Amino acid sequence: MSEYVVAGCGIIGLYTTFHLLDRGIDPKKITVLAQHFPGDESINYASPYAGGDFSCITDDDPKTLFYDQYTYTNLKKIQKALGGPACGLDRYTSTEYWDIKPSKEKIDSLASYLDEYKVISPAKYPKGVQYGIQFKSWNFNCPYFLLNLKVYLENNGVKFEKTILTHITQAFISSHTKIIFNCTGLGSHSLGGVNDSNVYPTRGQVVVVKAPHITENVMRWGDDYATYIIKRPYSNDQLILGGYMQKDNWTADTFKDETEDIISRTTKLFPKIIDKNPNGDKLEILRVVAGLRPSRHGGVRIEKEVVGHNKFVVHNYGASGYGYQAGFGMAYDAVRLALINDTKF
Amino acid sequence: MSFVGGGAECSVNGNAVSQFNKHTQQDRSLQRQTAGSPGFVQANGFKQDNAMNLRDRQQMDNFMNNGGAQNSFQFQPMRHELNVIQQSNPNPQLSNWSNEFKTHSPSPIQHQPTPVNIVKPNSPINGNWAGEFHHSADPRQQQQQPQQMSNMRGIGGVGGYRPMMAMPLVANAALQQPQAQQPIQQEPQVDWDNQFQQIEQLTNETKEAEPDTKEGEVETIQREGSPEFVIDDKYQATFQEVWDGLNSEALEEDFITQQYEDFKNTQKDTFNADMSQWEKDFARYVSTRAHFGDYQFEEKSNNQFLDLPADADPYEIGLQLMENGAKLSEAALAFEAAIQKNENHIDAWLKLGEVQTQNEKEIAGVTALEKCIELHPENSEALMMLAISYINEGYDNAAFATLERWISTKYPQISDKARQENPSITDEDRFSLYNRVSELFMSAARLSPNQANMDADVQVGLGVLFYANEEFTKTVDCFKAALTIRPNDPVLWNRLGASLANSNRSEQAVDAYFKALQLKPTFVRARYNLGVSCINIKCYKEAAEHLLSGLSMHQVEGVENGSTLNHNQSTALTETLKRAFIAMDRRDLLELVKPGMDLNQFRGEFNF
Repeated sequence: MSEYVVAGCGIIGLYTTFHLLDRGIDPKKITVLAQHFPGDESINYASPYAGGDFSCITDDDPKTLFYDQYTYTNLKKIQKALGGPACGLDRYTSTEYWDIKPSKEKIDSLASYLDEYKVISPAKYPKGVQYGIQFKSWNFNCPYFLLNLKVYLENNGVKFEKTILTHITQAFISSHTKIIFNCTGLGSHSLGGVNDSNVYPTRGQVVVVKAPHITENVMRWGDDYATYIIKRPYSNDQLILGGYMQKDNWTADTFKDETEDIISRTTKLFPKIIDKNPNGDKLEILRVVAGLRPSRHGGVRIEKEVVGHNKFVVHNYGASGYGYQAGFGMAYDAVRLALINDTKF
Repeated sequence: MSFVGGGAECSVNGNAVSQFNKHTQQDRSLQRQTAGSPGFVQANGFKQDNAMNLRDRQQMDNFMNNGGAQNSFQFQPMRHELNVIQQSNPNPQLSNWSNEFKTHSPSPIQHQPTPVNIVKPNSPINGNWAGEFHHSADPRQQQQQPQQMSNMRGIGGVGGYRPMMAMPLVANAALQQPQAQQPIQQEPQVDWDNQFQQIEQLTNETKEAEPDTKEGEVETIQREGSPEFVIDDKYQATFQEVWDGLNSEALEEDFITQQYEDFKNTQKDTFNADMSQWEKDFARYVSTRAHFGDYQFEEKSNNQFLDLPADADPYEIGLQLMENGAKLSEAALAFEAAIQKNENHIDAWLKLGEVQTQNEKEIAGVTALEKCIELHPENSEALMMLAISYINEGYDNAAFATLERWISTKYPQISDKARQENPSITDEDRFSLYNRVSELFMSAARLSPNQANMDADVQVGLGVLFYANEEFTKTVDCFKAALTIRPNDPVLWNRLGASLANSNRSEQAVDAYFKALQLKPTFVRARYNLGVSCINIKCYKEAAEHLLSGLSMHQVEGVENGSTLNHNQSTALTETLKRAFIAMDRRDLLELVKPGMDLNQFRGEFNF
């Protein structure tokens, strides 16, 4: 009876719910409360607009490296549960370049678990690149994957209720509710009882094009820019081109000059987009969209807070642009915290 | 919030603890009485969810809305309730007990038990007290929960237990129904727990404490006995009874065999015959721990043991401090100093880990134990302590892998034999790992089924495994068995208490914690657990006192900081203290709780 409530139905909330089931929690004891569900669109609902794939976007602090590794290695479990790659989770080769060579910790970590990992020889680097690797990634058809994940959880008995929370304690919907998982992402900035002023959006814009001839990912991380090409699985040949990392930019508007800049950068990074395009140099743009990555100064916040007598909130937000690739590891940590027993042996 | 034993199962008049239950049941009614409310809500059952919910909700509203009229009414629920009962109940035994029970003392004091409360601090235990209590033959242990407590993990398949019919429990494992264990989950998690553990340590930040003027004490804490309480006698009595029961019959050889047979019965459908190589498993474990989070030493200026003459051995001093009942924080500093003299001092790392975990500084303890194992991979003491710390922190698979290593270290013949029988390697998952390790421990237990040569640590390991599988009654059995070997081990008493608390037998848990504290008053972890259990039975003020008492034991002599040392502060203690204040509806107190707080600000209201 709603012993566990997950607030927020983005990728973080869904990963958290999946992990609760993984830990053996009875799905009937779980309720997900959210303003937006998969299928909805809103600038306040970041998850559908993500790239998305597993990338080297993340920092090299130990926790984040762990979250990445955990997610990467355990996604196959989710894929299997959802019936295979057709759920919108498939694997393609990724080539990633850095203008500034990443730290040893980051490199060592990636090398230790990425499949089909290899370092690209410097002779092949684009001009200005200091380091490049190739590996087998995970690709998400984000809106579709979210929906399938929700359906899976629902079929297993998890309840989903559409709610707008103005204060986190409103999520204690039943006298039996003991733990709330706060997976509200950007919402934690202004949600009563949380009011995390460290939360801020990092705006991105992407251009979705038709590209049946591209079946891989290419990325380049610059000092103040990110250029990426991400194949969207089971999407009728959609390819995601991006992007931008605009801190503290709250606008949902999209801009023509940004679109042009994205196409310019991505086709320069990966000329095959145009060279092998069945339509010649006419690239069919299906959609242009902006999303607000739920970032946080100090990184993700995963901690347990006492808010009332036998009432706890486990915060799990701030995943910025790596919710899909690190979120399952974050869920592991959040659920671990939630389930720790008070008593110490 | 279930509550054991409040009904017909207990032998009502004779069982002092059940009276205690009744106190707290009525106690809760009193708690609902706030200033200005019309009257006493007589609630016999505590399962009045609606009322509870309203109260909780009020609390939360107050908490969240900076509640206007704070309820500054300080009630002493136990005191009032006991007065009420005293007036109405002519049973002298009960009044005596209830007088003793007016407050929970933070530290048990020896006294001579008489029907009238005469307290002589520090007088020796009088063995005649057992006669004071007219217990019926039924021990509390007969109150088996017919169902498993509602647990958060919700792993299905743990069926009902048949109540135990005779003492001791441990000898009657035959009555336990085989557990139909369902697969826990299929998830290769060994690496994650270990790996994440190390990362937690790396990112653990310490917060600077505010300076204060209070000085701590090095010597054993002697407390003045308040005339109002004498808790320990009653606990001694009930424990003596337990003890007598446990010791009156030799543990039947059947016990261990039966444990094993039960286990095999439950495993027959799911038992995974494939075994991994021990070394490979542990190598995997060790490699993920290659980068230890470094132990956070205290500031040099705060560690008096760094300034000793060259011929003084801080390690020996640390041992002496522990022997003499000094504060664990002091002993920890001594061991830190020993390590700073010689960073490869294996025993100092071991002792530091032991001390810090007992001091309720788990992460510090874990870091130290991991370092000890790094230096001395076969250190079975460190391995067992580490496994238990992992369980405490929710890193179950790390715990299993560590227990596996412990067995292969201490009982290599068992692990060798198993490896010979099952050399193949399979995909690692939590369920297989759990089964394999449990099987090893069962085999080890069967090696010495007689009480005479039973290995207490095997029982501890088994207990921990059962706990991880939510078989709480078996956990209790195992710790009781361990206690038959080492009856004066305060750490085992605390573990017994923890397993009772996890079985929702909070009042019995409290007994066990008091026993641990009687043996070792500086045992902060036992105080912490006592605080947790007091919250669970709604004795919030007492809980706060135990927790504050524990926190005060983190103060050390000569350190200007009146609260606690800078590093390795115990979040468990402060977070639980907050819970107690929230439950008391005392936002003013809640706001005072922060790292580096001055404990003196609580002394006006709380006795510690």
